[in-house]
Amino acid sequence: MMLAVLLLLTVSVLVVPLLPALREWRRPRDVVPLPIDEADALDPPHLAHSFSALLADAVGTGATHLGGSSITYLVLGEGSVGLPLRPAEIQSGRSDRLWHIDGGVQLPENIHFYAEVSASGGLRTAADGVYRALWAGATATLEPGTTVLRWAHGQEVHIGNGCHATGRVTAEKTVTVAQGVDFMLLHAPQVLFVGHDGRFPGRPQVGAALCLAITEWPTGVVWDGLVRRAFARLALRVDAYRSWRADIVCLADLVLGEYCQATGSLKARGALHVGAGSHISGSVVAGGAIHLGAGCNVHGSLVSETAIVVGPGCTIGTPHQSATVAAPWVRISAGTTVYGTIWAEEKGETTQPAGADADGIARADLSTYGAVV
Amino acid sequence: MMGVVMLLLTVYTLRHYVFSLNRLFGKQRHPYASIVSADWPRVTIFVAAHNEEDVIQDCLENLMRVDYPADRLVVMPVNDRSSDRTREIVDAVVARFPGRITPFHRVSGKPGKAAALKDATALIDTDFIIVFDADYMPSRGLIRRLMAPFFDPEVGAVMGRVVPHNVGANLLTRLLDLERSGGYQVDQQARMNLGLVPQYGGTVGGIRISALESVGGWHDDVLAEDTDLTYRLLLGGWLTVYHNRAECYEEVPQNWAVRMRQIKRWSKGHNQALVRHSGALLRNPALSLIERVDGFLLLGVYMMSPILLFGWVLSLLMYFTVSMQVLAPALLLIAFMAHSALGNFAAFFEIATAVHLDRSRQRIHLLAFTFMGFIVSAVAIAQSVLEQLLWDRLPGKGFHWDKTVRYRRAAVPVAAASGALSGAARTTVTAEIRP
Repeated sequence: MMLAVLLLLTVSVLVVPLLPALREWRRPRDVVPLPIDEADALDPPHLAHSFSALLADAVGTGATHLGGSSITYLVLGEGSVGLPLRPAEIQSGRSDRLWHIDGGVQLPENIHFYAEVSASGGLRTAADGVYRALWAGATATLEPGTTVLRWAHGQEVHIGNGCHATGRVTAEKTVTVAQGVDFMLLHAPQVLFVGHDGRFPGRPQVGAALCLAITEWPTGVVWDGLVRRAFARLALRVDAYRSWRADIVCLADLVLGEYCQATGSLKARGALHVGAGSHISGSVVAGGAIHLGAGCNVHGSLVSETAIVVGPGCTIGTPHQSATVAAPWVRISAGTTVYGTIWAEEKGETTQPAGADADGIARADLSTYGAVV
Repeated sequence: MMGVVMLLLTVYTLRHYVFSLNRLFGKQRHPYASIVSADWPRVTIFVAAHNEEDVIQDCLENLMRVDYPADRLVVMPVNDRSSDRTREIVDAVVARFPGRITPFHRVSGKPGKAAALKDATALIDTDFIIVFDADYMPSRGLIRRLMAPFFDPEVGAVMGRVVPHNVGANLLTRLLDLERSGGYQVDQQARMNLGLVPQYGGTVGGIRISALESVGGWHDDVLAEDTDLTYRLLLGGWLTVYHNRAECYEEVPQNWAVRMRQIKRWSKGHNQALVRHSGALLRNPALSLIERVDGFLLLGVYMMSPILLFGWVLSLLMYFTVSMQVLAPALLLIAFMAHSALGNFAAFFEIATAVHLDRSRQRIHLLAFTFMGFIVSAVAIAQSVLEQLLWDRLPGKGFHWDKTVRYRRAAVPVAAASGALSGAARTTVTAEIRP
């Protein structure tokens, strides 16, 4: 008897886990290859362009709904105010209709739009308005305090003071970003961060001729001439007014003094501080925080696994060489220009030029250095 | 002896658990996934091909559709001494995309992928290469994703994720789909998260040429050029990065015999790397202790199968030599299950974690069957170890490249198309390289 019970238990232990497997084998489900994201993550305007194509298709076929929202089609003159809102919308302060406007439009105050608004001309939001998504054929202007939940796209996009761009903001030409703006993803050939007066001169650049070329790296830094790479296992500090033609890879913190000229890229597994007025022809990558002093010029991308603080008057990328600024946390000061994309995975914000004093983030762990050159 | 076996099994079990828990609850590192805009560098794509008439066309056509600046992309099919219609098909595709593909028809030289890549690398003028197998079908954004980490000057190699395409063919392909998910989605990404040793896998991977040269270039006397390169880069101070979003479809074996041959080849190559690099790895003071330990455990992963089988034999001997009871059959089964669970349950946990992360929930029901696949793999690997120790050392039993069978069939005959080749459109490199 005992033997039978044990055998039964043993067989049960073996067979029970196999039952769902047998069922799945005989009646297969979920047997398609895993989907691969072809382009979305690499194409910031993807959502806006997809919407535009879907809307054009819906209008072309006379559809009354798109994505569960009813479509309201209007023809308006440039900058028109006065959408035919329903009393219930005015009373509730929200519209769930998809507005498709032929012409320009200024959206009414005290109404939040929880479906897309598309205008073939210019589009201007109301101050403190909330919008799911905005498409403008010309310039989109986000008045102060505007919140964009998913995306906004136009030929040009102006983001006013105190806006909350929790989705993607993309433009065919230029995105202009004012002060106190929260953002996630900004993308355009040119992204300008402006101050109160709309510009910031930054600091003067110095030519490489004024810098002292580094001919010998200090003890502890391994120089590989074949790949032109200086490899430091301990923290490294480069004095001001130095120039070199090499990549620097540092397994700890890396600090560059002011007005350095690097023909190459920088990498630090720790924090990385670039002194004001420095010029980097390659990319700047760090495991810790990156701090870019005022008036720096980086031709390549800026990538950190923690935070990036860009001082006033910096330039990232060039008109002919786009670049990405990417980190979980990004703070950018007025007067900075980025040619390409800024992607703050958790939080992005713009600050006054005085924001350059946020050095504490980057300098927190820069107290000791293994080598100085 | 049994204690050593149990200790090793426990170490690997813990390692698998740590990886799975890291993927479920730990901080995830995708540092280069957000690089969208950049001055993309010139890169050469190698498509390694040896008698690949059924699949090479799809791979090349997909590469012609990728979202990467065309003037910075050189596609070079490395047609290594094919005796089928591979050359004809490659040339037909070249004619359809004038100036965009530079085929390398290798007609002689040392056999093997590493030797072919070595010869091909000598012909290029770009700073980076990406390697695909001929059965791979790159997605539109794949090249940009693979190139993004190279803006980090510490990165010597990048590895993407392989996703089976013929998953619905039969039970084996579904099991391999689960296994691939566990291996990439959990194992590789966890090693990336924890700063350990992600492995360059030979395909869907990129290499910085200067890094490759600084560690001695391709070694054509190895069975697994990818594992060999991973460790030489590691010892040379270069970082290998795993990019979980750089996904590419591949074709997995559809019958068990092919699968056994494939895993035996991997095992031999991996164990060869174990012998070559474990000493230097463990002695290298430049690497952290955790990197050395994980690197060694990764090198030893294929040795665990024979050790596990040895442990089973020991268990049986111990049981039968201690006492013989009437309950023997039942207890024997329980002993097998408990013993194998120690070594493998965590690996199954990795697969379950991967399926959860992939949000592909129905596949999980097949998890119990992966035990069957594991047994087959364990036997194949143990067999390969024995061959490597005994059979392969005999005279005349040296290097042998066992190509994986393909299952897709070429859709369109290309004989007609190849006849219309324009001489001006072709930029063909034909080389005869003597060993």
